[in-house]
Amino acid sequence: MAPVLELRGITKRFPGVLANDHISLTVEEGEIHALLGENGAGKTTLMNILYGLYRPDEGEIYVRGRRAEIRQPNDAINLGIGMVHQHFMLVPVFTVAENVMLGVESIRAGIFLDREDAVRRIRQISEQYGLGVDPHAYIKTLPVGIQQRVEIIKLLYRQADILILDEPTAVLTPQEVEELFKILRSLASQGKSIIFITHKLKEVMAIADRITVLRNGRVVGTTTPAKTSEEQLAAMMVGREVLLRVEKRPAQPGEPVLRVENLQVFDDRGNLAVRGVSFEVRAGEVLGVAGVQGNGQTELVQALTGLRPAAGGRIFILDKDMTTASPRAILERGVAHVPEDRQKDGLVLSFPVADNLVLNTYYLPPFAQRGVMDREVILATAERRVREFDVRTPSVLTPVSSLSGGNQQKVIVAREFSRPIRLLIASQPTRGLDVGSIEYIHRRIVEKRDEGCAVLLVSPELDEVMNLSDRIAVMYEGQIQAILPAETATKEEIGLLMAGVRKEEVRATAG
Amino acid sequence: MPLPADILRMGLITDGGRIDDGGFNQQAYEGLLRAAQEHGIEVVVRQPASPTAYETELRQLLDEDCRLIVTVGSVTGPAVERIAVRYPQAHFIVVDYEPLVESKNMTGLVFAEDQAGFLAGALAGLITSRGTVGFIGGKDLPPIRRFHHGFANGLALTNRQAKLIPVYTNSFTDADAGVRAAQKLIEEGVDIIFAAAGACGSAGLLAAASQGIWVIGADQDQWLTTFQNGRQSGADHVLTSAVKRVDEAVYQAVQKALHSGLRGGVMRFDLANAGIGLAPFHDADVAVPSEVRGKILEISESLKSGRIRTGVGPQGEEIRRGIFARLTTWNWQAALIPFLAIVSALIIGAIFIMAFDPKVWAAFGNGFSAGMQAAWRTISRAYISLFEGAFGNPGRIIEGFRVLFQTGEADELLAGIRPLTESLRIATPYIFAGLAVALGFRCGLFNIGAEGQYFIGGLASVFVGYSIKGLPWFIHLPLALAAGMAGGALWASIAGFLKARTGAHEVINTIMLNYISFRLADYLLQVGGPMSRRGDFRPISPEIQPSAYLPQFFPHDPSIRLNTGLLLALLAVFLVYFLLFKTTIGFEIRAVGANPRAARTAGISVARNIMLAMALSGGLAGLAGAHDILGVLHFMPNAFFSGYGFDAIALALLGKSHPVGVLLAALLFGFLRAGAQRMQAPPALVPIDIISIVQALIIIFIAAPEIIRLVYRIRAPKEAGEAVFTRGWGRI
Ligand SMILES: Nc1ncnc2c1ncn2[C@@H]1O[C@H](COP(=O)(O)OP(=O)(O)OP(=O)(O)O)[C@@H](O)[C@H]1O
Ligand SMILES: [Mg+2]
Repeated sequence: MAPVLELRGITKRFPGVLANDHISLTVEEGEIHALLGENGAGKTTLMNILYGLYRPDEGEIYVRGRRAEIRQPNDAINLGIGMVHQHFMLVPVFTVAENVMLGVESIRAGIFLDREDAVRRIRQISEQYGLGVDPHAYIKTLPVGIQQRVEIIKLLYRQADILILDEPTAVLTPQEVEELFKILRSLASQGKSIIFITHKLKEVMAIADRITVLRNGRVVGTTTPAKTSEEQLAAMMVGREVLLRVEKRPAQPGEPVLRVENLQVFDDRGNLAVRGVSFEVRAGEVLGVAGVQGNGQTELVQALTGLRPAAGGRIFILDKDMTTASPRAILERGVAHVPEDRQKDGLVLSFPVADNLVLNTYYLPPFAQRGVMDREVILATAERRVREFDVRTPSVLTPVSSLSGGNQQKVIVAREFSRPIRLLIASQPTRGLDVGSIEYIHRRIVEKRDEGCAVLLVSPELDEVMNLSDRIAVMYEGQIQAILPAETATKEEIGLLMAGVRKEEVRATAG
Repeated sequence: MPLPADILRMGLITDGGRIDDGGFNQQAYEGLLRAAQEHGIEVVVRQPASPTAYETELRQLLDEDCRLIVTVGSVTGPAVERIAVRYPQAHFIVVDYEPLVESKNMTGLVFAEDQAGFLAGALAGLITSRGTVGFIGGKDLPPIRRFHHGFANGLALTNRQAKLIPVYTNSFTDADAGVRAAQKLIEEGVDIIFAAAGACGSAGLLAAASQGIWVIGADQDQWLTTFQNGRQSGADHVLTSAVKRVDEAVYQAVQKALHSGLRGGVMRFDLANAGIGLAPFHDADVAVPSEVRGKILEISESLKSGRIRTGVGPQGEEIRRGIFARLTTWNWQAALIPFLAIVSALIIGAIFIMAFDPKVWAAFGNGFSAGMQAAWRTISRAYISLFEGAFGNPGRIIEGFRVLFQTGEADELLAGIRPLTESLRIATPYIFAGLAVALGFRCGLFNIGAEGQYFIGGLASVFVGYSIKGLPWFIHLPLALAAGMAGGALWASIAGFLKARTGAHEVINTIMLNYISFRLADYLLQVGGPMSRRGDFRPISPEIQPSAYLPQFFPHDPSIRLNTGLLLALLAVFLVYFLLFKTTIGFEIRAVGANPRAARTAGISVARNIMLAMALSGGLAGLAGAHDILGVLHFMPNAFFSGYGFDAIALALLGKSHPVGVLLAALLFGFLRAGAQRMQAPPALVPIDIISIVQALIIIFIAAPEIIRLVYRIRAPKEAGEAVFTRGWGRI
């Protein structure tokens, strides 16, 4: 029987980049096919071609054995191909049902939308695959994990049976990932084929039936979890051996750089999101903040960087009270900030790479003299940064929007790490990065630490926190449950603390 | 520090190729061997099976006590970097790789391939007869890109018409791919092929040369290696090779390491230190005329002395500088769509003109061809009037020049160009107002209130103009202009302040401010009002003092109303451009406009920039008002409505929020408006509304470029532009 989907010799060029180079790939019915590859390897581009967002320069697509011309997403949808983009395309003020109906309105009696029919079908889909989504809920009230399921429902509602998921787990908590996997398995067992893009090797090993690895726009090979290992996959992706663990010497903490006293912060809805936390970060150490997303970490970081006013308590940076300081004053105090949401907070997407590399230093010499910017210097510096941090871009004048997700992150890291800094506040610094880049950024963070920089690392990835940190603070409902030394902390212990179990009780269970 | 004298062993790691590959690895080996033999040092060679083995091989060589290790190819660079930090007592030399700044015990050997490529390109440009040449590149790596773009720019230097077809095979080893690439190029009609793709490229060159195509080698003198001292068939078609003296470079680097010590960083090899160059012509000697040799020599000297640059950056990217270069990178599509929009709008306008003319209908009653003739007459009469109203009658202008040259009398010429001057006069306030809205757009603000700011600007300047007496013009005029600008700026700042402080949306507030400004003017100018003209029954202001007039260009001919405000407008175009794109203030404004959250995170004050942009925007709109008062009317009527404020939005859209775009759009509107007045008069007698329709159509087509793309089957551009119009309601 012909495979459900076959790509033959797909080639796509962008100005200065060969994004896909004669890629061939087959997907079988009921298969979960993982697509793996470095940042900028061309995964998203390939999927966009399949979904009709780009036209390939060469190559053919066969769907169920038939040659398919996919010129636009509608063609793809008609062929039963659906895609969940990394950035969701939902209208927040609409309900689930309204979002699902957008574009495929069921129409009754001429012009009236048949809402009941849609609601009925959404319920049915939701039950059939165990999605658990309420059709009447408003999108803006739903957590990210559920929003993603709405995207999946949208596809199923349109009768898609080839589902493309581009880095679906990058935005999910570990629990949500587990639930997503359950859903994917249920979908596959009912005959849907799934193409699944991720950078997390563990996930690939856990869920994929087959794995295809891309590098520099080409297929390096296709394998199965049984026949390979995480190390091997990493080497295939990057073309060299990758250290999946960070090598680091014991920390030599010095003076406190950041001191937080009883800090309280409101969230957007006016609830107290950070409820009196106190801690300090010393020069030459990494303090990791672990916790399930949404327990006040975002607000904590925003308060520390001056983006959100503190409702109470005090923040000292290098012994100066910076509680009410402006973001710029804080930056100028030697604080680097890698924000959690790179596209919203970290980059001006329509600006070229070079401008984004000076987004917070553009006004300082040598980039500007008396208010006039020096393009030559900015461009020359950008050339160096791009090389030093291995940002894959056709040129420093390319708008960041056309870089792959991982390379966008590298632009931010390059910008923040290239300033003289005393404190690094990094929120999920490796979100969406490939293993090679993660290794690189982890190494740079450790280097910064060894240079005497204080590092505050916030990440929902327990592995990352445990790997990099010298001390680990666990946040739960706006409070710090405990601060543990990293050498002795165990995953179980932190897991319990993250779930809200109190420190004394944890010790009791453990002891 | 120099390496200890007792060093016994040195290592060499290839990129995976063999040390007798007749290329790169062999050259590195020979260079190392030469240095080693001079010092009696043993050389250990490793040829790793795959890139993943580089680190292991490096470690083994270090275990075998190799203190100086040479690795070949940029692919080995990252592995060396990782190892080098752990073995500070050893030194590493990497061919073709620029190490990161931190490595002190790692030296990269970097070649100016772009110079070699440039010379090869210059030669190719002089030799090619078909004007089409090809380039075969291996992988898309900096050295290859340097060859490629150097070649392209050298070619362009000596042969402007010549076309270069580049092909990347993505391999340095795949011989078949090289042959295929060469074949493809030959089919495309090239008569010279330059290949920089290792063994893959060599295979391509062999295939091409045997078919009588000129070939240019790379890295080594390929006439010697690939073509075996001319014994291979096709050797007589080897023009030259763009040579990298890897052997020499390795030799020099190793010598330096052994004698004085290497301190890390890069050693560069270029034409000036003979690290690169062109190989002898060998068999092709006869085919290269002596003037060509002279020219190449001259270019070579100029490159050495830096008088010519290759125009290739360190990563092999093309550097474009200067106005000419910028014009060639100009996005023609950006200009194409507005152009087609204008043409389409005029065509549709023609249909309206025809349809509104009863004579045409009557003529169609007498048959189709009679109808068509009548339609043609009507349309051509209308558009000729439009043209003459906008630019003047060409015959009359030529006549004017003739009179000027023969008699020195300029009156005839002035009369001839009067329509043109009128168009420019109308365009002047459009320029100011369009800039105002465009500047707002750049900051993500939708300033609908330009009309009101224009009003207030007019009021302020007229007040200063009539109330202050006895000042010399060089004080009074600037003062009146400044008042107009300040008035507009303050007025807009109200909306700016509300937006920055409370998030109140500027669209609503500027609209409200418009009404307030109209009523304010009504009150001030009403008969007997505070700014009304005493003893006049009309609601108008007093005349301003002549010392506040914007000087006319042709003061002795009052029928020509063009004034020096135009120069101010052009200056404003330049200043706004400079502000937006060259200053930190502009950077901030654009950053806030494009992504306020990221701007804030980067320490930019969103509120301050919103207030600033709004004030500047209002100031420009105020200047439009000041221009009309000080340059044209010299008093202010209360019915001062101009529609500029709303047309300005169209201008900003049409000009893509770019100052130069706005200038062009404003000129267009000026021409259309002036032309429309003529069209209204006999003989055309077309209602002026037709021009409003044409303008509206242009705006629709620009705002919805898909229509134009669909009609003219133009593909969508690859990237979205930078202009931000405005964001959702009520957000900061
Ligand atoms: N619209 C575009 N214009 C120009 N270049 C593009 C465009 N889209 C992608 N590219 C380039 O194509 C290459 C492949 O990008 P793609 O987004 O497919 O990578 P990816 O494998 O999805 O990476 P990541 O894991 O970082 O998301 C990159 O070098 C990228 O810069
Ligand atoms: Mg991607």
